Amino acid sequence: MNIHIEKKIKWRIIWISMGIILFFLCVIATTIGIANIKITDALRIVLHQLPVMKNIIKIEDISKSHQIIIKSIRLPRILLSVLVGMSLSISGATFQGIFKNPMADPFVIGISSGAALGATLAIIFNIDIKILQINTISLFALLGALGTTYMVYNLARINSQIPVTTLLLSGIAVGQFLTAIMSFLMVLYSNDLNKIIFWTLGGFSTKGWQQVKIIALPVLIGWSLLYFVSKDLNVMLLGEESAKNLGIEVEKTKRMILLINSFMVAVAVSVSGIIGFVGLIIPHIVRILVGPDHRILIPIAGLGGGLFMLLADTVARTIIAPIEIPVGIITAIFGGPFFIYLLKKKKSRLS
Amino acid sequence: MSIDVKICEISFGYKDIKILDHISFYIPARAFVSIIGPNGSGKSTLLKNISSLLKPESGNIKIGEIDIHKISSKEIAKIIAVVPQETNIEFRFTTEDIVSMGRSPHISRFQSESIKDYKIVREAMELTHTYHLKDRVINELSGGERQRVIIARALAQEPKIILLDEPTSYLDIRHQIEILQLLKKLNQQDGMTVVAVLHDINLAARFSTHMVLLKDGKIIESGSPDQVITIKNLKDAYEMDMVVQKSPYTNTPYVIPL
Repeated sequence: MNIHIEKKIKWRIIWISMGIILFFLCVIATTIGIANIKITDALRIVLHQLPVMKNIIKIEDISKSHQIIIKSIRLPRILLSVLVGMSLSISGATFQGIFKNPMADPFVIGISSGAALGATLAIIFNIDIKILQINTISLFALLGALGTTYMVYNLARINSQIPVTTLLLSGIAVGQFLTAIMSFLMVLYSNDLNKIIFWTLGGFSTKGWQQVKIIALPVLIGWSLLYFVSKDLNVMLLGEESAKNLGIEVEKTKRMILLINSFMVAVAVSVSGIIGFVGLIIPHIVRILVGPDHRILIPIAGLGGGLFMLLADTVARTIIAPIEIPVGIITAIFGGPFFIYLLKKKKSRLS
Repeated sequence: MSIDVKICEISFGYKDIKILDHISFYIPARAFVSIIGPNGSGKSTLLKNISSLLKPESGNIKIGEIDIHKISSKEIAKIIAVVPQETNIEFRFTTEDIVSMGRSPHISRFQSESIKDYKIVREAMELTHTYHLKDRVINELSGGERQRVIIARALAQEPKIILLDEPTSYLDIRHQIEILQLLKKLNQQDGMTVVAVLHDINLAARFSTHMVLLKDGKIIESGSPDQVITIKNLKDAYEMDMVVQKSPYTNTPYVIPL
């Protein structure tokens, strides 16, 4: 019997230690860059930002310019990359769960295409509307993403039910359709081609606290809500009928996951562009490492996605500085081979 | 406590196609009921109506005195467990994880399995001879092993009634008998009501206390195996001639198609 309690304690140790690792990696990442800042100074500046620590830790002896670099440039960017990585990875993991399909990713129901079309429209027509200080491109991307989800959801809905296959198919169809419109616009307005391509490749340069504020709450709330349905999601992997026979309210759970994921992904895409790969691969890597149980998968996929994105973005902004590489390129270049390595290793252990 | 099931005048269909047409029968507590009939006669649909997965257009189904569409699916799951024809799982859950999922109607959202739950899971696995498979990954088991694991999951629900949709159709003869003997044991020793859709008339007649013969969504006959398995009834249902004998070994009706 003890073995089950041990397992739960092990899970807790895994996610607490992973949280601590992520925190220290964030601090280390703040020291990396052109300005050379000592790690102890960086740690003090980061801790000084926390509400209680403010009075305990003094940072007057650290130069003002270093304080500003960390506080207003590097720290928000690092937090943003972690939050975006989390949201993509968690939504990928839960989409793979409800679709019972390992190929599902955060963009499977067309969110990315909608966001990209929104951003394209804003760029091409040079629209300048600001609501709540969100910049226009982000705003249009957000509206495009949410609008697409709404459309796909209603196309797939039959009375009060959403069969996952129709959801998947209408997601693909709507996504392709919107992408085609975007490509057509790009051909017509080739002057803006560069700007559009760079936006769609995704990245965190020139991003600050504004974006962190937009994304932080949706991601953290979404993450905890999804954690509460993790047990139901496990049972749903047996098939929807079996899950219903086990007392799970399948349609309600599906709708809730769809709503949370759409919102999390829409916000993430609107602040950072379309960063592929993280949402597909990190959940699989985490499954290989800790197993398929959503009660551990959802927490660790979140932390793992954040960690991976932090590493990718640190590489993206430093490897050929001062030129920045779009982070989506880095995630695929480093993530792909690493995933193949894990897959091979797992296979050889099984045979 | 045992519970009976009253199925009263239920009809069900998809659009214009009628699948169940005013079906009524009574399942006493502790019965072993098999539902037989040709393909497309509505057997699985009937089972899904009883498990409340589908809602009949008219008529009602009562467990004891409770209408199954008036209580939550979680409450139903504490009374009725369902074993589907086949279970496919993409992700690498262990057998024990799968059986533990049977506890989910008994565990609230903010709890996780207690030591008591794991004890029930273990008992269910021992009863179905699957405990030695507990750390194996479910999709690497053989068909017979997997079906026993799914039955263990159903038993972990601690149901009063277990519904099975052709539980033996992918199994060889030995595993078919093994599963049916297990069900018989649960039925006789623990007083669990068993309702199974079965294809094999001879096995159904051998193990059941009650039988229901369906055709085109209507009941041709229901009652004891001797009442249901007659030359005339089978001719009406399957539109072919069969010889019905009494098996000297099991003393139950035995059918040979001509």
